[in-house]
Amino acid sequence: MLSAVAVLGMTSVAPAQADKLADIKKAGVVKFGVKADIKPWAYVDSAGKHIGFEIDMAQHVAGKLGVKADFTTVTSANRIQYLQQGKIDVILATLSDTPKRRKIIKMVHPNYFGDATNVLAPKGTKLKTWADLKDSVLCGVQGSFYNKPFAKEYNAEVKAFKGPPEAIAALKQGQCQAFLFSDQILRIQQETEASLKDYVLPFEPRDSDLWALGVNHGDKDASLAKLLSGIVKDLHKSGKLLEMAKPHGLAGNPYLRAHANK
Amino acid sequence: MDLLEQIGTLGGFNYTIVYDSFDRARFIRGIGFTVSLSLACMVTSIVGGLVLALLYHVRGRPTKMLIEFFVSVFRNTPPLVQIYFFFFGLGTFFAQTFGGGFVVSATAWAMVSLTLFIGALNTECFRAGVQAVPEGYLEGAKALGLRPWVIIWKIVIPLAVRAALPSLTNNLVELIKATSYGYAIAVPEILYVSHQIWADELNVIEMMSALFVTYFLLIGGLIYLMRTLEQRMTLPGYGSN
Repeated sequence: MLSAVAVLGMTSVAPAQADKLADIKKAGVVKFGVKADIKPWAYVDSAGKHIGFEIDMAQHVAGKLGVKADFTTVTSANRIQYLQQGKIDVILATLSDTPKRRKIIKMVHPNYFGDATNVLAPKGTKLKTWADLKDSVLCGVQGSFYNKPFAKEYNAEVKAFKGPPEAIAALKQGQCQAFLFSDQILRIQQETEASLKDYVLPFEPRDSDLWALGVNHGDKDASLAKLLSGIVKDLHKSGKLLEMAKPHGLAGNPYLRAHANK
Repeated sequence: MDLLEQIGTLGGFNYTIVYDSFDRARFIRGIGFTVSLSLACMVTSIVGGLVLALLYHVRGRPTKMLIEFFVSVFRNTPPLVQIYFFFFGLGTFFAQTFGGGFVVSATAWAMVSLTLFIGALNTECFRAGVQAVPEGYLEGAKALGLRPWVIIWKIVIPLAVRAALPSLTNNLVELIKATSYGYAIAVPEILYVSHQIWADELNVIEMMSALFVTYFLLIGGLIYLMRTLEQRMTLPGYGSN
């Protein structure tokens, strides 16, 4: 069976040495992979237009590159494959920067956002500290990097759904004790969604989780990554990123505040 | 690096299901889950389909119409939409109506949904099987004074099932494939589990090929069993053989 599997796997090809930046400039368009269900980072308005903090950031980046921004909706589970297949040029989709992912794609540094992990649970939950997650049943989102470590650490069962709306629907039904996800996203959703007013984040957030723009490895001189890196650095330094976060209610983010104007 | 890890990473690939005990355990559990979910739904959908097919031929017009309606509903809608409907639609409705105490698990919803979907297809296939029973056999049985239920049990069912077997095989193949829709509602079957693994390990090509081979073998096994069954059940002088 192994040899058959190996033959099937042969279709993988090493990415050719490409000059992505030149391609983008030539096309006049930079294709961003963005989320569509993570308010206020990236979601769609009633007209189907992409809006949110990350969308504003993408528009700014495209402006700096001197091209137009094009948006493709991605999920946590498919964004890296979309990038590898060339469907998008840049991931700007709540992408956590992890060592494992760094081997597969290039993370643009500095990180543009800092987050942590937490759970959302109904008021009156028995969960008080992280240790209470032992043998628990959690809802999650497919493709989140923390599903496996938490399942292992607490012997928890993580039922992962397509996106946060599905996971929250399952939580409301009582399919799980809590929803394991990004601290900031849970916090904002809990504050802004009326239907979540009887839910709480019972724990102290843990494990700092830094978000990065992702591009493909193997680009000529990493020119796109270098340019993006400069743009993000500048966004922090000028205080513009914190400024962009304000209308979306994210100005209180500790990471953004710590890096603004520095 | 131990031997399993050497095998798992052969040729630059990363088969974590070979050397990572956590991934291996969940992959094997996933296969077990797909098999047991398939077997359970095979039993329920075959029994249900057969009962409805018999009722269709025995009972009056309202029953016929109800059965036709049931078959249409579940044959004319995609199985993924059915699973979503049951889990997110009915499941949420139940939770809102009866409070938090009444929770139907995702697995139970998948079973209900697949039973109804494949049950509808099986109803049609057994209905055709019942229709294929020669009128003369039934008249002969009646002339011998056999009771109606004896006729059904001893004559109609054995002949109908034989006639229905080839299309039943197709439905059961469809059933195994359809268990993969469970992935959308976090039923830990093989596709869901593989998806978790490739999301964690980013070894998409490896898991895709492992999935492909696993389904191929599972369905190949079913088809082999069904062929054997068909041959065993062949009646000399009846049907195409």
